[in-house]
Amino acid sequence: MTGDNDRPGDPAGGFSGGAPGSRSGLPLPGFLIHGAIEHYARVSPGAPSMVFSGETMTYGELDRQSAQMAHCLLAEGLERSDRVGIFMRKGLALGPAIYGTLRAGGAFVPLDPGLPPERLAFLIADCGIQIVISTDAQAETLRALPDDCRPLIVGTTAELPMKTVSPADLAEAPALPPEGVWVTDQDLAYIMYTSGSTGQPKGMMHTHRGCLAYARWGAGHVRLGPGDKVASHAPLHFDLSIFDFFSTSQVGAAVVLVPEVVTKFPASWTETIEKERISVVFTVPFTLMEMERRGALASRDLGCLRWILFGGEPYPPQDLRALMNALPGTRFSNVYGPAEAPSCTVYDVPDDYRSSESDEPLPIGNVSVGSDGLILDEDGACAAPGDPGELCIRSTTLTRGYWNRPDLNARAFLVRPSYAPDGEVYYRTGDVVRQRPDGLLEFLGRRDRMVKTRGHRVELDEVEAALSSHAEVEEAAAFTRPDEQGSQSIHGAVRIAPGAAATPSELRSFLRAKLPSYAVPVSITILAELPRTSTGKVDRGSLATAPPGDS
Amino acid sequence: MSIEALAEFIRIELLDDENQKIGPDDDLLLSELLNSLSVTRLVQHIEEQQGIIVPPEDVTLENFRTLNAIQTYLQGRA
Repeated sequence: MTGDNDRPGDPAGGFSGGAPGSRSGLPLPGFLIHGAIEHYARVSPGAPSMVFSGETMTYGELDRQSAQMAHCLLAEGLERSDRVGIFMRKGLALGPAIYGTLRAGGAFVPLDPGLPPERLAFLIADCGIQIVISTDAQAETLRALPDDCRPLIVGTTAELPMKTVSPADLAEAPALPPEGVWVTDQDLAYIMYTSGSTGQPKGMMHTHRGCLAYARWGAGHVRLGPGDKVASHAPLHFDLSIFDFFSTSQVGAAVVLVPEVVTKFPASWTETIEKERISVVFTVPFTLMEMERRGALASRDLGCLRWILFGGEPYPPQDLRALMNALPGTRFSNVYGPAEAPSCTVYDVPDDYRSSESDEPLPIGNVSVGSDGLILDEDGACAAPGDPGELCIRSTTLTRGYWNRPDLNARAFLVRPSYAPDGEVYYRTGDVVRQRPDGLLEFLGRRDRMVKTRGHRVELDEVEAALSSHAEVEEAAAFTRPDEQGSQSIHGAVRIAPGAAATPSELRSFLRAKLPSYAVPVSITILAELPRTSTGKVDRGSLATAPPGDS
Repeated sequence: MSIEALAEFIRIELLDDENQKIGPDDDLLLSELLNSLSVTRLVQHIEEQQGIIVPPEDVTLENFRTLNAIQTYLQGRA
């Protein structure tokens, strides 16, 4: 790894991995993500660490299989901080892949299992991956990789045009912890690529230290302990899964892997929560809104569900209240934080929110322990109290920067002078917030969602909120397309209630009463369902590039 | 509603791919042949064709996993 990959202001390397003295001469396991696996394999080897579709992997078994994986990777020449791709769907094989990579001193790179061969080859090359851990189910894509992309594939029996290691070979590797692997808590633990539908994907580098700060924050906030079960439906390449996997392993709890498709069947999803006795869920508002609308909640006993964390996009107040009232015993927290700095602010929704009638957007709360924020105006000065500005975050969970993208690193991070010799590094979130009189932060929108149309500044989130306030509109998206005059014009797309009769022209006249004329979308498309990204957010990018629909 | 009619609807309307082979026991969901959008459209189509309402609690993985499963569900409703 070269210094170019590090964000500005980072001290060059440096060791702070804990005192010597642990058995194998490694830093104390508490400073490294996989230390927890070795720990719970000793104190509670029979406790479940992972559950998937009726099968369980205990901490003892995860310890054994991840040690075997580590030995295999080391035998194949893996060196410290080398990247290992993980290309598979949800399943118990994820555990040994993740922890085996870490125990061998490598960094794992989750690769979206649905990627087409060309895109997969791009990521493998971009990240310098030489080993990919996969399964037979992915053979078709692996076989179609271009000729110049020939990584070693571990975990498959399929006939592939590259060298492979079969599960049977893995099972013969030694099961004792590998010796002589040198890792510090500032070493790279994983790289998360954004799944953006346009542009070049960017990989965020996270260290053991940053990951543990996030995992321990999460475990502490929801008082996670042994016996807890956290559901994980997000794909591994979405950072929610980092919370699911590592908050649980820090405290000896279990992560219950749920195929992503289950959340598309809300009644199956709530049945899974009931049957598996899930106690904590961290997800996006969309999944929760579907759960409330179509999850048959009245016929389920979800008393097991102690805490729901949500984030990723704003949760409309009336929808949140509907779910809170359907789950009277559950606590709710709004967690805000870009993937670059997960969980940097949190707002615990008060119990009496259930009976409130406020339509104000939910605040994102206060900065979490280990984080600190600045609200900067357009000139880079601190915004006056109460004024909107871009939120810039310094956090123990902060990414070390984007892999191989010095250009992005120079733009996305801000170094402020401080008592620290190299200054303090802040991440520019691109999110506009303001501090309310009560001190809580309110999310106002994306900086890049403030557009100029016909010379006027328009906040696209406001257009969406206005559309959503129509009684028959269940969900709305506003986006821009280039127009013939070389400017941007505003367009809308909505999902309306079943049986509702709202037409685009009606919706536009409704908006004319609420918004200035230049902010009223020039077209509104009515869709059965809004398109979603693989992480469950409304895919405004694909709406904007789709051929204009009826209006 | 026959299995072939269901397969035809999925091929033409949802996947826009006439050549996609769909066997009666192929997993429509775990293979990610269908996404949440197309599940909604499939349910709507069945409701219109059969003149029934499929209540939310029936839209489950078990009932919609394969063409055979959908068929079994609809026979149970008849």
